[in-house]
Amino acid sequence: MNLVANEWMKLFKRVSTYIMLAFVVIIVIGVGSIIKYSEVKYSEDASVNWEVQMKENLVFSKQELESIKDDKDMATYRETLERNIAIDEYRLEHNIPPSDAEDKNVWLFLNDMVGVIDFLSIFTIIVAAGIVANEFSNGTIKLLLIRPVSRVKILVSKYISVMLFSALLVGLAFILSFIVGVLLFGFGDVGPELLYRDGTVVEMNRLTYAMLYFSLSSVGLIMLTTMAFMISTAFRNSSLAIGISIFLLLMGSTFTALLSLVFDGVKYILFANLDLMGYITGNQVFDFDGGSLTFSLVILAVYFVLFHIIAFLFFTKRDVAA
Amino acid sequence: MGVTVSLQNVSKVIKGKKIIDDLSFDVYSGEIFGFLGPNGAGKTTTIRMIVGLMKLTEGDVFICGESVNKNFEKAISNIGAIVENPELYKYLSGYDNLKHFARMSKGVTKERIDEVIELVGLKERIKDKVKTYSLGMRQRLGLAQALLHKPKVLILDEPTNGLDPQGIREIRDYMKRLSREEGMTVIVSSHLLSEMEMMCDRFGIIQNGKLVDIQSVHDTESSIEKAIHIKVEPIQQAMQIIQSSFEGCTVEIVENEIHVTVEESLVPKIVKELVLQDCLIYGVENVAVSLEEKFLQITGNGGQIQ
Repeated sequence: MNLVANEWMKLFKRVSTYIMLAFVVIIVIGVGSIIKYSEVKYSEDASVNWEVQMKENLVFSKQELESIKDDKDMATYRETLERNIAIDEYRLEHNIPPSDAEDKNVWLFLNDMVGVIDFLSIFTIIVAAGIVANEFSNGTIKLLLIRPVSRVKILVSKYISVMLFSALLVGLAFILSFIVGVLLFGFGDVGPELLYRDGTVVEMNRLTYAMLYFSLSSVGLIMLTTMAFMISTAFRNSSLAIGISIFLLLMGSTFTALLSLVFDGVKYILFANLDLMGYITGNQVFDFDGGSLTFSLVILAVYFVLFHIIAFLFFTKRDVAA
Repeated sequence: MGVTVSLQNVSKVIKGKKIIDDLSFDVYSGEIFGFLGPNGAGKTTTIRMIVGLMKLTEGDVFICGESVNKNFEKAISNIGAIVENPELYKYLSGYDNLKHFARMSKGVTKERIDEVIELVGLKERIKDKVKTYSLGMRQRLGLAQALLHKPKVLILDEPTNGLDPQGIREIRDYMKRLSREEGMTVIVSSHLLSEMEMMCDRFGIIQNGKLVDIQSVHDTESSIEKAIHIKVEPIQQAMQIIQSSFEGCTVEIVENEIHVTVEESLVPKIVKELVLQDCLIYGVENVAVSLEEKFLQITGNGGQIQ
């Protein structure tokens, strides 16, 4: 689509875009180097001994589980214990050492690098906040809207461009992390990732797991970027959009955790539903009644649609004055 | 001459205030139509409604027969416009700006872009970033983007704002050329009367959101009444001569000149009579009733914003 090509051109004729890309490169290489030089090698016997240690832990965990069997308040803890026990038993049975007994390898590095997505969110929020608001503040919106193209198409093209840019950043971070990881740490001699789903342990290829981890962790990025896009369109003010979105990016989950102490409706809050990876691993940050992958996806979809409805209503209905 | 732009009972209410009140007029192909009014009269609002930047509260605008309300994309494809200053993407080159807008209209070829660049005389600097351009060059680039898709109607809002005399003249020449040679309709808004007088064929005067008057510039030029200032001595004698010989014309003494308003054909006769009566004529000045005076008459004391 021509309109997306236009937005892409406007994005990539700006120095700031290249600064963002450069930052991604620097961060990935930087984190890789720091990890490399602070790395502690597991001694030979430690990697043999994981079995001994795990067996001891298992005995302890099982006792613990027995003691809280009938305690209703400890349901969450019980689930965690059950999960850990199941995975540990599976490891012993199939001789798959846990990741903390592995030497650093590209897969562990990729899991470390997932945190970089929050950092990328800042960039995509800035781009999303600017892409509409800057047209207004520069006055170029006037020349943009007097073309034989509907406002809806213009806004859609802008949103698609933001999403493409986000995909580019996350993709770049992933591929770069992979390359850096392989170069610095190698593939390592490792078994599959183990997931606990519906009472059974499932094996998953490490590359698939890493990619899944990256994409599911990007859901938060997508939601906050969409929100920044909405605020930017509604208020035509990029600083406001950047401010609110980054604030929520940093504080959102903390607030949600605090709120969850006082009332139940917290499960309808956007941030309580961002941890989709938790449903895959069986390890949830916010554990609420009725929480499931489907439930979270529905909530996210509702927010997503809501953000877009607001953005489109404002963009198509409002007059362009001054 | 066909009607290209037609405003029909257009009104605009912003926050309960009627900014534009029942505005209707037609503009024909091949003419330069001036849109005149004091600041705050609603010129820019009207232009924004024509190009679809603002929604109409009531009424409709037809561009080449297409309704802006119902069929915006079709209607707007006949329009090229600069609304207020030509605000382009400063971080893009002139060429990228044109490419950007060319992609948004159908059928604008690479050749057409080059042709337009040639037309506005920006060939040398087109690869440079717009932020290095002077205001005059930006105005030219603005014009170039407005002409890309060969529109039938060109709308320029305050096109000469902030330009030097040379730039103003260039814009004027372009507009004349486009309307004469390509039969384009040009709508220009301005509060500079002398400007309008020089470039427009017709102009509409708007005040407080209402259309006060539509006039043809040529009406003023061919008006039968002429105002003449004559510097003559002795002044009292000359006054009497004119009053006695030419009845029905208004004569008055202002400072040391005689101001006469007469039919144009009488002017040489007055001069001849004065010479024959041994009056010393130091100068005869032809003062056209300027658009400015007309404008001030019509809008009443400079058009107060209420």
